[in-house]
Amino acid sequence: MRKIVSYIIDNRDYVTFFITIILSLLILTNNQSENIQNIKSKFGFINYYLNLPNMIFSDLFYLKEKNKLLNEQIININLENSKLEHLIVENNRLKSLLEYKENSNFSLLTSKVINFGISPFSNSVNIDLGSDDNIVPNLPVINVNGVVGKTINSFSKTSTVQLMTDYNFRLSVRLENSGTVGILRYKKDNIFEIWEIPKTTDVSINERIITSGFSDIFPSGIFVGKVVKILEETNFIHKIILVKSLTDFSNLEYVFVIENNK
Amino acid sequence: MYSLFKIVFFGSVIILFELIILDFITINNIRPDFLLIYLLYISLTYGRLKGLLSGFLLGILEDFISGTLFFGLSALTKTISGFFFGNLSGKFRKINPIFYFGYVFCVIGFNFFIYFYVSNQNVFTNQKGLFFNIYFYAFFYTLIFFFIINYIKPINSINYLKDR
Repeated sequence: MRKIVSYIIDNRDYVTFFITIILSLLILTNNQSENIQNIKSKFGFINYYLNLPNMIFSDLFYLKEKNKLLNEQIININLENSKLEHLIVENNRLKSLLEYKENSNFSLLTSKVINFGISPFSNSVNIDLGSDDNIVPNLPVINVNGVVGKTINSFSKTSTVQLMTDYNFRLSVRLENSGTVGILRYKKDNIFEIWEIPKTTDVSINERIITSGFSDIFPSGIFVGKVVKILEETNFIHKIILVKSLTDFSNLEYVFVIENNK
Repeated sequence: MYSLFKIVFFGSVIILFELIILDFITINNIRPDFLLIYLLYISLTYGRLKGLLSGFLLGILEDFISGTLFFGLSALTKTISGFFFGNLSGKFRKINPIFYFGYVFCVIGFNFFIYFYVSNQNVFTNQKGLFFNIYFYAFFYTLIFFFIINYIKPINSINYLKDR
């Protein structure tokens, strides 16, 4: 026993290294477990208090409430407009074949972006709404120019939003004119790409891309971006469509969380 | 124990600083990792044991703040980095500077690789070019800040503390 103890003391660097690595791996592999989620929510105040100076700092420069109200009005009008445009195209195409049921009563929560995530690779922002405001993971986040991302974590007073520009972000989208559905992913410089579009599909430049609704998170008909380029390689079985989002992801100020989309 | 609190406290200050200035230094969604540079200095000052413990605690703190989908990943990468950085503690005059700095760069590169590989496996599988493009951008961007900080406080001026 004494030998074991003296061995551990002599090699405490390696023993501690081994223990911390195992601990990190355990946390990492049990990421979604209830225990880890509980710990995260209990210590969520760390996130809030570390973000507090930044919030105070940025509040000095913005007229918060007025902007919030104005932006909320704009987003509602834009959403309504986007919905209507989509409905016209849908109605022309399907006419009496399909009864299109509309469920667009979005309940929007206005939120201010506190800061950008500090991770060097993942693209996320922290917002000033949290579980106290009924924010839970996997809620759609939009702004006046369309989809921004989705919530991935919620602490008591803040939440983390995974932006569309994160390389892990995937979004089921629809070409508005043809109705073809594909998966959108980030490429670079505010350009996104959709790979799964059949070559027979007619696509035009500036065609609107909207959410398909084939998702538990995003309701259908939310504006995503416009087609800027169509790539048709002979050795590809699909077209690749490049889409530009109108949102400036490097300069987000206010976003809107869709609280319930039904 | 006291020095560990001190390290984590200053680490929190660095995170605060990072949060405030991040908007101004983000280029094409790429950000430098100031916490890793801080960890390098900590590990060189206090040695391997405190380096890896600091890496673990700062990594957990970073995971909390960044709200990452991969909670525990920063703790893992920074523990490994803290351990390997700590190997260089007090050895600046004993090792060839090229090997010394080469080792530091390798550890920084390794840290980024694990982080980016685990968090973006689909990019690695489907778009290797893009993967290495972003990886090297982030790596070199962090190195630029390392050189600036090293110019202000050279790592050869760090006093090796024996209170490990």
